[in-house]
Amino acid sequence: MNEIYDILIICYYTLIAINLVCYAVAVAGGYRIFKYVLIYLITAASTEVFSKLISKDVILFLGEKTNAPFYFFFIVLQFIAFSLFYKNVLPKRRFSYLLNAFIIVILFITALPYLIDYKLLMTFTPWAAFITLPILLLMSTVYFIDLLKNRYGYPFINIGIFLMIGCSLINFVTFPFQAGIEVHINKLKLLLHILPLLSLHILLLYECLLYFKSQIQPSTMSR
Amino acid sequence: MFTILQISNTTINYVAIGLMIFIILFSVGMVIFFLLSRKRITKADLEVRDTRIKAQEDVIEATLLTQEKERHRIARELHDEISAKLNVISLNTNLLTDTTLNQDDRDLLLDRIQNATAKTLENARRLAHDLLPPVLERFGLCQALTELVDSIHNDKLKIKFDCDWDESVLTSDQQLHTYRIVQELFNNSLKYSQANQIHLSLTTSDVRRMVYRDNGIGFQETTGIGLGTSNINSRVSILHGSMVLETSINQGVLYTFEFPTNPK
Repeated sequence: MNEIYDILIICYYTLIAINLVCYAVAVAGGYRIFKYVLIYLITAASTEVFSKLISKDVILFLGEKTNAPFYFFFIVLQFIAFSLFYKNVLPKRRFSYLLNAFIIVILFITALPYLIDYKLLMTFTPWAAFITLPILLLMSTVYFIDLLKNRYGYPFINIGIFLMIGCSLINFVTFPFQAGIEVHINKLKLLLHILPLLSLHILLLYECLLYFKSQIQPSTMSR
Repeated sequence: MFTILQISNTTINYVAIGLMIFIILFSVGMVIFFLLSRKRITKADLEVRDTRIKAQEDVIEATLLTQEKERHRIARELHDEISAKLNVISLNTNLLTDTTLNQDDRDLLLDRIQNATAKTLENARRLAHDLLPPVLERFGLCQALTELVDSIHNDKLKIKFDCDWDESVLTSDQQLHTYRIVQELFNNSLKYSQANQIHLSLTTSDVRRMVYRDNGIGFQETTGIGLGTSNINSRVSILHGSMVLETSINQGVLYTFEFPTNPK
């Protein structure tokens, strides 16, 4: 089981690296909507790198060996990246400015406990995830319904986000109920945590490849 | 108490695992759905493209047919009306060279030559007019249409016509295409509609609009498209305009054309 998990982790790192390159090329090529996904990918990659450095005692955060602060920043930046992505891909509505205000309010609520007591940063608390993930799940569902009506959009990115956020949320909700459960249940949950992550990155890659394909086709047809 | 808590935690985690598996399966289903729908959309796009290509081919075919028909008509006019008359003139001129002819015969021949020349001139003028009405070139579309209306208007067929188009922004080709469309519409009304009233209106607002209405017998819109209508369609397409036809049996026809105000 551990071997499978290790292989999946290596696949996850490889996919992050490939996606980083692909999305960077797409954004550099002028496809601005992918910049939000690129922000997410940079955040994910940075979090993984810093977590590795901390686990190998290369760096410490404020003198402590914990990656909890990176986890918090990851959750916040993930929310910012995906909510801005949804804000841009959802049809423009008259209350678009309200969505901006809503995102800022959610960010403030997320950061409030940490502003009151900054030491909370040094411990794992599900607060940030509890606040931001349901909002992203809601945005994902709204966009999903919208995609059923529209022929253009990013269904694969959205399904990936929905899958990853949905599974993460369930993981966080059941986090306080870990005590005394059998090892195989824990491992299964771990597997069900990494599989959606892998699926997200595969779907991100697929959407990016679809974009590259759409860029090749017109020049071929015009010949 | 510990045992109860352990069972409870295990159950909660099993439920969580079940939910996660459900989300994964749901997402897999959605991926398959979107992949299939993209395939369907691509197929539909190809069908639309095929239809457009077919329509373009129809337009080209109609244009070529119209060209051929026009060439035949011109050839027939040249042969029957002009060449024949020129032959008559040539023959009579040869006869005039005969020194034995008396004055009465000479006068008769000269009269024939004058008549044939006048008719030839008239035919040549009409042919040239049909190819490109001179008034269109000199005075513009509205005046050319006025002349066309005057040539058709009579006691049995009343035509109401008004035109406020600014011809200065239209090229001569665009004016000619519009003129030909109107000519074709009049032609259809005269040949088939049995109408006694026609209203033609060319107005300008946010778009250049041309409305043609007659009170004839109309036709079923499902009837196949004739060469004339194909010809109109291709000219409308060249002018980047649109055409809406409203008609039914005994309800006359109403054509509404819209063209951009800043044609390229």
